[in-house]
Amino acid sequence: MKNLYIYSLALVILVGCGGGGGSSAPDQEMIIGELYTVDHGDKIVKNSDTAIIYISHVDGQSESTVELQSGEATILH
Amino acid sequence: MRHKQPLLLLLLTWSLLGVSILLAETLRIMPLGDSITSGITDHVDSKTDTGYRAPLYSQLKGAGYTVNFVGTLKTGTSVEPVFDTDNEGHPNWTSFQLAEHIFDYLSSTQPDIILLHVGTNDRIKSVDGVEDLLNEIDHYENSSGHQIHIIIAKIINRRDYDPIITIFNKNLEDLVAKRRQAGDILSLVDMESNAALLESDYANNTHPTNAGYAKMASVWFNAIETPYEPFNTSLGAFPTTLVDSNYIIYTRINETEQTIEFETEIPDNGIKF
Repeated sequence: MKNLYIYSLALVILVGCGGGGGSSAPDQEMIIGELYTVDHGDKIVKNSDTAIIYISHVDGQSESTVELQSGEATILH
Repeated sequence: MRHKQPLLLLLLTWSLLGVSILLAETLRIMPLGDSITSGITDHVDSKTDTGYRAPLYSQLKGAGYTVNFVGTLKTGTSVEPVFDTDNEGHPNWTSFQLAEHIFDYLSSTQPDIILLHVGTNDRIKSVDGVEDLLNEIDHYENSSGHQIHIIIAKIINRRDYDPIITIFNKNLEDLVAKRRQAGDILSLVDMESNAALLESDYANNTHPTNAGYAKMASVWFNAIETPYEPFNTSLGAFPTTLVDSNYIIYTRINETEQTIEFETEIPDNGIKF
């Protein structure tokens, strides 16, 4: 019973620490004119009153290419 | 196994009949455009000008099609071997002029396919005249209930390269993508590139020689032979899966590469991929 308690505690600690891997990419502040790749689940938010982006996409693929045209924006992965 | 043989024979017969019925079906094709459709070379002679029409007719017949070229004009009537000389190739006409008359031409000839090569005389980058023409064809289709497959050519350039034609062709590509997205039965052929005309294929600065026209005929033939591909609606709908259409500034679709590119404002709540 004591061993089971110790194993469970260890498991909780490991899960709490994120298992030591698989962390997502950091958020990226976009620079005008630079190309970025975004995937399903990513989000782009603007940091200025207005911001315009260019998006290029190939049918059937999960990824798209984006480029900030004006304003300020951040990619949240 | 033996009892299956009559069934196989029956299926084979049906399939052969199906093919022959398909090939026996008459293709009503309207060659539509200006002097390049008429077939002018370095001189004008309505009895001998054939353009791409004569070699195309020969290729289609050779492939087993029953062909009926339709139109209110007859050009190339004294040429051997004899071919169907009906057409709507109006020398010197612009797309705007064709738009004014196309409804009447369609009403009197009822084509199933239009081969459209127009814009050489427009001498502008804008494809507004072609859009007018397509609107008139839509008008005819809606009033008659008769659908037409329009094969539009990015037009051949001049012997002395004219950059305005290349821009016109790019605008034509965008127009066709837009109209296909809206449900028009349109195909685009790249005559400017795929006809691969050499300097020696031109009789003058505008018109091909008969050898040049034969190259154009092969491009048309391949387009007629290619099964029609409807517009990929999932590709066209991609931008609005991300943002409301009010935010989208422009959209450009490349159906050959199955890509879409667009510019959009970022809404207050962001864009979630």
